[in-house]
Amino acid sequence: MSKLTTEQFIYLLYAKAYAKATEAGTVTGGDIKSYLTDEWKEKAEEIYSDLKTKKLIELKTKEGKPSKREGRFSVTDEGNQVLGNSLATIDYDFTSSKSYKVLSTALACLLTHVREAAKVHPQAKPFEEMTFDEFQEKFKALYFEERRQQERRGAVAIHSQELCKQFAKLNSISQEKLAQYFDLLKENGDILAVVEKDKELIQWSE
Amino acid sequence: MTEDAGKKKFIKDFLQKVRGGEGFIEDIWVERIIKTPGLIGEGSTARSLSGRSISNITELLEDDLKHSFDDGYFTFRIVSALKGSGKTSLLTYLHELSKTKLTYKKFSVVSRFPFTNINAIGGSYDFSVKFYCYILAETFWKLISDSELSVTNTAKTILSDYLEQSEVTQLITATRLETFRPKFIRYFATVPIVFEEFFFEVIDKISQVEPRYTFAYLLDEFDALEKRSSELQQTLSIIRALIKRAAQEFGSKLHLFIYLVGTSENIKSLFSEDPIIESLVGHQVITLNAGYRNEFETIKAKIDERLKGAFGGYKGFENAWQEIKSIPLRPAQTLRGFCQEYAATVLVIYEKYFKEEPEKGFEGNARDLVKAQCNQQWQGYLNQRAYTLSLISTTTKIAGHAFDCYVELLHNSTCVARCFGEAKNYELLSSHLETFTHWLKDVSFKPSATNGTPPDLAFMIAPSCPSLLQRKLELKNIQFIPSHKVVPIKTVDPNPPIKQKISVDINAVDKNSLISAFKGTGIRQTAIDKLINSRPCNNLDDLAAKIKLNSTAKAKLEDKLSKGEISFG
Repeated sequence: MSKLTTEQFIYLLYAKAYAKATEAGTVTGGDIKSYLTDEWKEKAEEIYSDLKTKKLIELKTKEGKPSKREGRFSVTDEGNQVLGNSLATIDYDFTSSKSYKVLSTALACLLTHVREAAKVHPQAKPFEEMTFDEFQEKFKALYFEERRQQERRGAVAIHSQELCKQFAKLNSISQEKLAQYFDLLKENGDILAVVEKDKELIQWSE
Repeated sequence: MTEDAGKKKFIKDFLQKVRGGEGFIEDIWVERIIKTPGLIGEGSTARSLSGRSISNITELLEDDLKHSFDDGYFTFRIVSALKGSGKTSLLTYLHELSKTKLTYKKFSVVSRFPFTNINAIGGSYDFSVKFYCYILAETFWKLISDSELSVTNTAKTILSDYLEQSEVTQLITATRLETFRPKFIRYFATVPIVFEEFFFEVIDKISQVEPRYTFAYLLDEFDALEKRSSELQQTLSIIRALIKRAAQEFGSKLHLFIYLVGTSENIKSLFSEDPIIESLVGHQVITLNAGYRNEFETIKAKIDERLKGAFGGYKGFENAWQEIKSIPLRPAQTLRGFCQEYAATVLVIYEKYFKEEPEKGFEGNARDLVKAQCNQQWQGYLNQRAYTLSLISTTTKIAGHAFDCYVELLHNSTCVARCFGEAKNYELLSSHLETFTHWLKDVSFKPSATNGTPPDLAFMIAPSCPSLLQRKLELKNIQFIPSHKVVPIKTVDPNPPIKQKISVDINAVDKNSLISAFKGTGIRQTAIDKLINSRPCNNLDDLAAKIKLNSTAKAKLEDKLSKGEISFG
């Protein structure tokens, strides 16, 4: 798969970010050029034709139909894929970008890329699942933080369901792993679980 | 037929009580650490109301009692914990503590009951009417039947202000609370008064004649209202009104003391249903932890050591001891769960090895200990020529009971006072006191000197005694003599010290004893906790290694060891 230069990457990302939904997801070379930094503006035509040769963008009409007229285009499937790959590896400081459109597009591409990768290679997951030790440490920290907050307020009743939900939000862990590790905490006697009014309440025990 | 305490199966009864796991089990009561809510660290949590510092349950409860009973401020506490974490136990302990101080007992009504009692009152009155009638009935019963005359008279006047004379007569002639209460409820439930106002009027009027008088209500099982929404709502509005009026009308300067106890989930929903109550008293919650490993270990030690004292040395004891020591200790449990499981397992071992064995008698020299005390306490008489001590005897049968020790103070060979002693080979149980009190009653024990007659004396001797039990002993004029099994005593000492200085067994005594034994060594409480968890220690080196003692502290302990102040039993 093609490897992109930084300016090619940014051009491609902008093409995706600034494509207008009303125009069937297309954008013009002129639009992109206006967003590029002065340094890259001069190279705009060159980058455009490189990307076209690599089939990462293709010419389109305003309605989104294939076209031979230069100027208007959209990002191809391959282009999308390359974008995702590049995002994961490229050395580019996104903090300099103030456009939320660009950032959210970058994030969306990255997420798609991650999900695709997980589907293709189920063994080689994009993020390593955390180990039980790591889980235990993080879960304990979350528990005690929650407990402290509740203590300050008044009554303490820590619901396992809510705490697990919160844990999943803050950490990358699959539901199955979370459930498995949580059960292990109970089995090991790290936590005490009691059901009150149909809710499971937990307490860390040591 | 003679009843001999040595034949009683105290240990079996004790184990059965622990196995029940219900309420306050005094004999295995453990002190629990209290920390400030929201801080890092282990422990149940609560803030002090008085501003004085508190670090454990006893300090917390005594501080609250002092806050209302001595200082005269309004106390409102909510106790919240998972079921089986010791809520009812705490409430009962609090009740017991309120009885251990004579002024508290004399100038207060302390009523402890579960909400189920209110639910169970018949009749179609509103729940709030039943609630107020119930606590007022408890209150008036104490005011009328067991208070100073000025208080009783004021209470009767209040009754006459609201009831017919015939009804008042019915009430003041009632002989038992059980018959007083239904009458009281029946009369008052139909009186068209605002109960909350009436309740505060009663407190106010009594305070005018006896400013020390405190009104304490310990409400258990808030959970009984869980499925009764109307009762729950009425209770919430009663609580809200009580708290607000106490604060607004009296500026919290009011001898009113309320504890409300419920499970975590119910207290949490109480607060989410009524944010006003949460904002008023959310910071006054006592949250109990379900139980920590070190608490389980303390309970285990209290059980194991008693078994050792009662059966140590018997055939089969070594095997039994091995089995006891290898009982696994599961950490993720509530206190109740632990007690039930552990006691059930020990009971099996008891049945296997000791069910036919009598409990061992005291292995130390009870006679000499008692004689020394008699010499000391009757000294004023014994200095006079006409007075002498009788020969001290063991196992003396009086009024059908076989006392371990018995001595008479003779005046010209006539008995003028008696001394009774009972000795146990392991930490005293509350049932020992019950039995001994019962026997003392049967022999007409007269602990106070009247008209120049010398007082009778009574002693209980054992290796140790829980502090609450010791206070109960003292209230009954029974003195506790701490004594290990073998104590060297000079029997001819004419002026023996009041308390025998005994060596503190590092492996056997509780935390408080360790703290006082380690005074001056600079060893911190955390290190003592650590020590308790890693006992037994074989010697000083072993101890030093286990709690990572520095050389200065070790040297100081060595000094105590050489003076015989501490030992490794």
